[in-house]
Amino acid sequence: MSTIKKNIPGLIVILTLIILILIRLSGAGEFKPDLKKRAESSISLSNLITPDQAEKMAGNKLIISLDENDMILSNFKCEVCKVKPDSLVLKTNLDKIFKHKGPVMLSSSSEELSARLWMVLTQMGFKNLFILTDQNDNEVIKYKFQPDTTIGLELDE
Amino acid sequence: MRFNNNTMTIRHKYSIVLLFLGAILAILSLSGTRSFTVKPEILLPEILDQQTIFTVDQVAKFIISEEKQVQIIDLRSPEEFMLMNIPGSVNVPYDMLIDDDPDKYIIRGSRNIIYSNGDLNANYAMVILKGLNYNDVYVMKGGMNEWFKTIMNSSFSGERISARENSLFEGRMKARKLFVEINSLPDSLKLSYMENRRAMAKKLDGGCE
Repeated sequence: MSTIKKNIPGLIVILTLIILILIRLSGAGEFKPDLKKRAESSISLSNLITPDQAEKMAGNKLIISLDENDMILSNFKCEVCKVKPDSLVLKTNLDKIFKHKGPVMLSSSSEELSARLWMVLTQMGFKNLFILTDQNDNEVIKYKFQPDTTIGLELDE
Repeated sequence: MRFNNNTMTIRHKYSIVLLFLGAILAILSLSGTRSFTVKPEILLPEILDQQTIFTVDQVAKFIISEEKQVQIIDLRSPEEFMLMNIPGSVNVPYDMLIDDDPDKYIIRGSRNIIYSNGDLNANYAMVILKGLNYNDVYVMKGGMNEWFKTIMNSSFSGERISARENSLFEGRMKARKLFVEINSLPDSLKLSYMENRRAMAKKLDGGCE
């Protein structure tokens, strides 16, 4: 006991360091550190998955349906969880996604909505998260510019 | 003497623990670089707000009027940017934006409108920037593909045109003309073209140098 009393300043330093490490590990709020690493699959487009690819994917799949996008969902035989976008970060919804073992797919008729929510969840530390989309050429330019004053534009294909 | 030995042992133990914790902190600060600074429950309503979206027609208006409080950011690759871009835009490829300090590119207090070819990259980037507490970030809906579809390829096929439609088409035609003219020029002439355009507009407004 007397030894501990003598080393109180040392203990305070150690406790402060432990607290700092815990803060660093938990990230700011509920977002995790290393933004770039977490967003990497959005650069390589490996976060996009077509319905055909999803069908072939192994594991227990979960689809998070962000709106009534029945066109894609009607073909699937897996667990579907309907979540309103504005309640996505509620603890019940996060627990559902976080505790799920297997790939989780975001489905919406709006790709911009899926993209936004994918980034939020990814930065919160969710892995194995995909955007279900029937068009994986969203970031490909579909038009050709003709550098002259004639505005006749033609499609690439 | 025995007490001294004991004290030394405890000091050694403290030193080892401190060194270990210090090393963990050092490693964490290296690998765990940036992270979102806004809490999820605050970020979510912000990114779901429809006010974060500008249509291509709205962006066209900004370009024609050369809105000073607007910065347009092209997230595409430098090669795609060189081929064609929205007049007045600056090129910050998506991967560079993630990698680098956004303070270099984002003008606080101005409306920063970002676009890519489609909807994905611009929306990812918007969430990242909002998560890093850059509030004045907006997305041009549909990106360059929507720009072509609406601005470059639009035509009116009806018999009568309303005043609102007329104004809309007039804006599109002006934006289209500017887009074609500036993208047909070599890069070295683009800046002087914009300067000449500003000087012409000033003369027409009756201003003086």
